[in-house]
Amino acid sequence: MKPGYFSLVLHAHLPYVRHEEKHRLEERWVYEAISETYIPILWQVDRLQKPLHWTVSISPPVVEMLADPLVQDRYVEHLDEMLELIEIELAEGRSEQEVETLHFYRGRYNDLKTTFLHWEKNLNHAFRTYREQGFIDMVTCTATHGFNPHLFTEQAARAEIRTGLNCFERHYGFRPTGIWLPECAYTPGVDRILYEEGVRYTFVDEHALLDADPTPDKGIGAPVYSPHGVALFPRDQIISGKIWSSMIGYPGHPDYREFYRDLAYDRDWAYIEKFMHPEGIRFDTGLKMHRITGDSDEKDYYVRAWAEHQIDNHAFDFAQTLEGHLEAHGGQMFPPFLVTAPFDAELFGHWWFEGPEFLGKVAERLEEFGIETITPALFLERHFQDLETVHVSMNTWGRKGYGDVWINERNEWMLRHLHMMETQLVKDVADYRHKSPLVDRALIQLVRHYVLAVSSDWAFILDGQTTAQYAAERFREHTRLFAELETALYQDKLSDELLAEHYRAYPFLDDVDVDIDTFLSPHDYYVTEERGKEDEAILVLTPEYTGNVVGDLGRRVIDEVEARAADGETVYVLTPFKEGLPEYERHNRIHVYRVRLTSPFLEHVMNQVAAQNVAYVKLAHELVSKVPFKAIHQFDWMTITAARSLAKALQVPLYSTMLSFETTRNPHGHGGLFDAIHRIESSILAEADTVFICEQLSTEEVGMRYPIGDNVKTCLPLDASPYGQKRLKKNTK
Amino acid sequence: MEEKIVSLKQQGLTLKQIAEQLDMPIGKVQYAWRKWRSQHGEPDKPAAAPKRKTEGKKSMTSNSKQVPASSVKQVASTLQHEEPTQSPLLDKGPEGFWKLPDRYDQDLMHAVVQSPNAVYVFWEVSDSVKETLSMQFMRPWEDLPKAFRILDITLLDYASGHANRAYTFELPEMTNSWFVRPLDPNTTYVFEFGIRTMEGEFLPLLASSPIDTPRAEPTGHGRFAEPVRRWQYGEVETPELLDTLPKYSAYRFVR
Repeated sequence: MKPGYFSLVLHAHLPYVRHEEKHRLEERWVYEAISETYIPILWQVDRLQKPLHWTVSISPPVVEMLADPLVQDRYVEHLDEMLELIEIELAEGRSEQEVETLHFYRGRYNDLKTTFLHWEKNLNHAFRTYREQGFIDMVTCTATHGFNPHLFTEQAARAEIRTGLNCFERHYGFRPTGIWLPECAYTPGVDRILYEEGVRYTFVDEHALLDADPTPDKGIGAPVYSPHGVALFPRDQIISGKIWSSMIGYPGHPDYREFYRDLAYDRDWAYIEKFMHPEGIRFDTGLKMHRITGDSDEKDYYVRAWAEHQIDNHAFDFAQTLEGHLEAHGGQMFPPFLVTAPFDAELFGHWWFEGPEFLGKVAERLEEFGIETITPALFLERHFQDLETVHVSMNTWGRKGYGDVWINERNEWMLRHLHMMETQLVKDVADYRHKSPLVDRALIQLVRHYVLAVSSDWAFILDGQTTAQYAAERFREHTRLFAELETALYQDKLSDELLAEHYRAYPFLDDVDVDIDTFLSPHDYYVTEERGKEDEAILVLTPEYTGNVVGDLGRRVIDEVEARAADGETVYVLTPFKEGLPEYERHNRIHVYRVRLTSPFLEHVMNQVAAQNVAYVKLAHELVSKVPFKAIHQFDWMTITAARSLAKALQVPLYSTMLSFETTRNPHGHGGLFDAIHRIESSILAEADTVFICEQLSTEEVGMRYPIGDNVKTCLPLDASPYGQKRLKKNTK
Repeated sequence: MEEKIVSLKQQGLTLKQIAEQLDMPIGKVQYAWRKWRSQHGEPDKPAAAPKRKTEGKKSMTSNSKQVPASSVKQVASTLQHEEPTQSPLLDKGPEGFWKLPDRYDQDLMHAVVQSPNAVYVFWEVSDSVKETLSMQFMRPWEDLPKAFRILDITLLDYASGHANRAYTFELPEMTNSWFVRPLDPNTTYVFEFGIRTMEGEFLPLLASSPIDTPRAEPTGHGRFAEPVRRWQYGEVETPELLDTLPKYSAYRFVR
């Protein structure tokens, strides 16, 4: 045995493109993947009949589509069509080279059909069987391949991860301890969720480790632990590049099949029409008759024997390269040097037609060369004590190594809607869960719509701009379905029929896969379930309150608030934050929020006041999601703008208490600030339902300086409530 | 302990009372109670389930419902408390078909990493905040100059108001997102959206959560090495590292 290990990881993923109606072009993605990749890989596993230590990751959309009878039956129809086309081609009297290739295809499509039917049309059974026989290991991916660094909430990330694991477990009978993070995208914090969900390892690109902090001693020669204890296996770019790169890698060899030249485009429309889209769209048949041969359009015909010869050559070359690589690092111990080579599975077969056979041959050559293959799971079992713990920053295996593909000018528009769906889900789950089985099913369906919308595929496709319209439409459609179902929930219009209709549109995931509690926050649970119903409350805005009492105003506010609380009113007081005092306090019916400015370092008084008012408004926005306010009462000019704006938005009466006015505090004042305060004070006189002015001020005196109306009154005695008849009034006297 | 909590809860004590009686943190009691309930599938008692109340929110987010001022402003009891009537994502275009909403009338700002040198930020300012500011400065919102501030708060607490460096620039009116670049790798940033006041002061209205730009080169023993070690060896109770995926709460300010 050579020193070190080699680990091959294949990730099978397609977006969920199952549509009830026939002839969607996108469903051909599934047929192509089955014909060119999934079955050819299974053929190799079956041929070799031994533990290969390949790790196959299969994403929930692929799992679900493979298990879908509609997709299965249509795939068989597709195979039959292909076989028919091949027969017609053979009857046309093609050239000798073409006939040879067509014979190859005839044999191949017959074999595809035989294999597919052998597994009763469900390839999950095949993967599961080989995994249970110990030939391969399997992991899964998140529910819909959502790009985790761009999710906003832990809940969404957890829902993607947990749902993916649940779906996989339902089809495969076990819960994997490894996961493929979509796009190999890692972000700090996702490791904690993974660990909590039972996941112990995942895959990252090599720069994740090379740029880790501290830099790992063994570079990319060993996985590392993330801070929360998830092992991160790094892609070895040099070794992987031999396989995936069209420039330096094997797939670009002129003897291999040309991906971009398809028979459909070489035949007259009248001839090929029968096999094309009914609306006259030409698409790839999958019968590609040429080999790569240079950059020009003039391609030579494919010669199967030559391709097979190259497969052998390249498998040998790869084993030899790997041997040299391992020997160069042979000195590494604890753990021994590991080369991890993760790939998109569809690279093999779909893009590099001969890829699956290459992998099979490599497996044989590696054994001959004495190179030990290993799965990440087995590697951890042997060497878990030897890994370093480091901080890994956000990164992916995509273009330029970070988020460039999934956030750019072509796809950024989706993010704010995804954010809204996430936060709505958190709220809906808190408010509605367990109200009835029907409602719970609706919540599950909302999660389903969300995860289908958050798939990284839509952003990816929009970035590439091929089939961009489809991606944008799919995103819009899932968002619309979300909006419509959520509206039905709010309007109490749910029914079995409605839910069935929503599910039928995209029958992805079983209800048992989706755990609505992933969106539940403990605090929301407390608020909705334990805290009970909120009484209608008075919202008080004041620049002074307990702990921050400067003068008469503060005492007046405290007295009034306490008197109203004694009457049985619930009062929410918003007042400026003061260092050393809690941000929230509660004394029976009085809730005090001390509110921080949006910035602590504003110089100008009017800007400080503005920042304070903005902060009040934002806090009130949050509070009204649960607390019904029946009136707003503001004190002093400093809280006027927030109070006015909130009273308008909430459509509640506005009360004001003014113990002094700028012109009474400062009779000879003039200038910008004086004028500004004067104008703000004037505005409350016009806007408030009732303005109470202090006993020491006469209405006449104020009226000389301000335009006052009937709504201006002298302050009520403390034992009189200004808020009129109250249903909740308690006689405490 | 769980049995005890369940027993006390079934005797009608609140979770807070149970926590006091057993001298346990309320969080532990809540957890135990929740766990027990989920394991036993106990349905929520309808009486304990508060009615959903987001009417204030509703009226804040919708301008479509015009209530005559005279009828609204008389007595508090005229305020109608409504269930939310539709999803904020439900919007109709001019032809009456659903379309993606242009905005949600919320105050929010979010930043996501594009690269070690670029961050995408999007935001929204609610009508109430806009209105508050136009009252405060006696100018229509559209006339207030908009600005964007980049704060480097690496190894600092944003709430302290301090920053290693800050850079402010003017934004075109109607802007609600920005690719902020060039930025430095391996740096903690906060982004703020706000207005320029008459005095030229930047008044922030929204701020993103702090976000770390990725590293783009080997750092050796960098600023995370020690915090990772302390966390790894259990010397701290919570890791001193930024988490990109915070737990969101719909009722975070309702205590």
